[in-house]
Amino acid sequence: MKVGEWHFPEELLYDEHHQWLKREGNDITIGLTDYGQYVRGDILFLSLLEAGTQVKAGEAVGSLETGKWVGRFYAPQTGEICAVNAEVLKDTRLINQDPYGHGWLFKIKTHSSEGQMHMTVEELKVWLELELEKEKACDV
Amino acid sequence: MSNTHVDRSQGELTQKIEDMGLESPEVIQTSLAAAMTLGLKGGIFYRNAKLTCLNLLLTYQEGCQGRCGYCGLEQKRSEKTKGTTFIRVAWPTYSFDLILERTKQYQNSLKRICLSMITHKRAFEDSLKLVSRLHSEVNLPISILCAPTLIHKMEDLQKLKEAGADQLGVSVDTATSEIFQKYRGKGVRGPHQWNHYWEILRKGVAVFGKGKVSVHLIVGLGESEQEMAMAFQQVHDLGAEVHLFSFYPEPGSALAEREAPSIGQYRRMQIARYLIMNDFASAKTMHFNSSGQVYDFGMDVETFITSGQPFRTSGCPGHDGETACNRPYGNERPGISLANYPFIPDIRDVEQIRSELYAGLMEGVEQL
Repeated sequence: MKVGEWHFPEELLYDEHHQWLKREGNDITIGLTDYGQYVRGDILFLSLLEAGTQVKAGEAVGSLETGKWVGRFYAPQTGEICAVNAEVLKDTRLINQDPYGHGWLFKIKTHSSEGQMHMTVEELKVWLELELEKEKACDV
Repeated sequence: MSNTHVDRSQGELTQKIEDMGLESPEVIQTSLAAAMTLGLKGGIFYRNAKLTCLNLLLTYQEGCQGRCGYCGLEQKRSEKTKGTTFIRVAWPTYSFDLILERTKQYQNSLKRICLSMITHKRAFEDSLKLVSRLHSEVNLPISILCAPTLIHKMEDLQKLKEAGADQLGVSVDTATSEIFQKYRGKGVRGPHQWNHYWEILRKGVAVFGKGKVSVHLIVGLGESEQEMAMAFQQVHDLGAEVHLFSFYPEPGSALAEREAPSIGQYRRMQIARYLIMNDFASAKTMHFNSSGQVYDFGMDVETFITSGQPFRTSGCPGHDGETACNRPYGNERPGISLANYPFIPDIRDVEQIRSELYAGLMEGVEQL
């Protein structure tokens, strides 16, 4: 599905940090959405917690830096970080170039339902369109 | 958050322009912050800073003929990193017409435009054309950051003023002639000459007027704090302003391995600059230790620290008299410790600045 200029795969879930989630059993893969990577700009630096770290839903699990901004990634659900994408740590451009593919960030193994309030692509569309309208009003 | 309704095809256009080898005046480079502000590139500003001066840079296939050791435009910069960054970040290239169109669209959120020459044989004439077009089509004041090596006559400066520039910038960059020679002149077999830069500065004041000429100085190229404060005073005595930069090691440049100045050194230089430019103090009444570090500004500076004003980015003003050229994160990575604040520092910032002010001071602090 497209919202504005940005692409959002229909099979994924989304959160308000512009992160996408892909559930496979108890494992969740997390990355930045197409909009998320674009609005942040070209990503220059990235740090992520190591695999094996226990995290709580909503907790910061890493940071990224662009030319003009620095911010965080968040755990969308309570669990254990079970994998970190070593490729993006070496080449941060992958996040901008292929946000739903090679640009994935980390995986969480979860047995908890804590933090499961995520948006479907239809819900994301409604929420993001409102956000974009607000941005547009502020810009010009 | 900045311009999220951008046209992504602009990124592809930029690549094409670079591949086609187009040059100024048809195309122009912009700072990353300017490209973001004009909706040409995605990105957001840390702490919701807003860019208020559009920084434009002439571009030619032959590049800048200067060989300045610290500069991202330097000719001999390694092939791997050449052209990738200038003043820390990428400077994308766009058609000048597109920049003009977008500038008109966003001019209400901007306070000034700055066009930077580079040292290239066509830069002066192209600057006249572009300043003239900007002046006739956009309702914003225009600064011209000149390349003094290309300028020889008072008439050249007069032409820049008549084209529509109201402020002249002269990038002396170094506090002393020795450092200038080392990194910009004979030391790098570069074309620039210290005395000529100061001559252009004096002529610039004569043409543009007092307070209408600025000198860029970079802290951290090996000068002492005393030498830098003396340079502030010399510029001020000539009727010009100092706009201050913190050295940032450009990857691939000759000074890539050199460390940025300590935050303490930079803070002290910010205060010294502010006091001298505003006639609150003179470099001659400040006190320096045996390492040339300032340990006493010759007056109580607490009020100034609390105001946060000395630590804001120094740059050319807008029509309102406030700094327009605020260069968000142009000198440092965005984050907790900022060399130049692109906005008024808040209470927390001021507390941090206070803790940084005397960091690295080797001796003399007990005399305060």
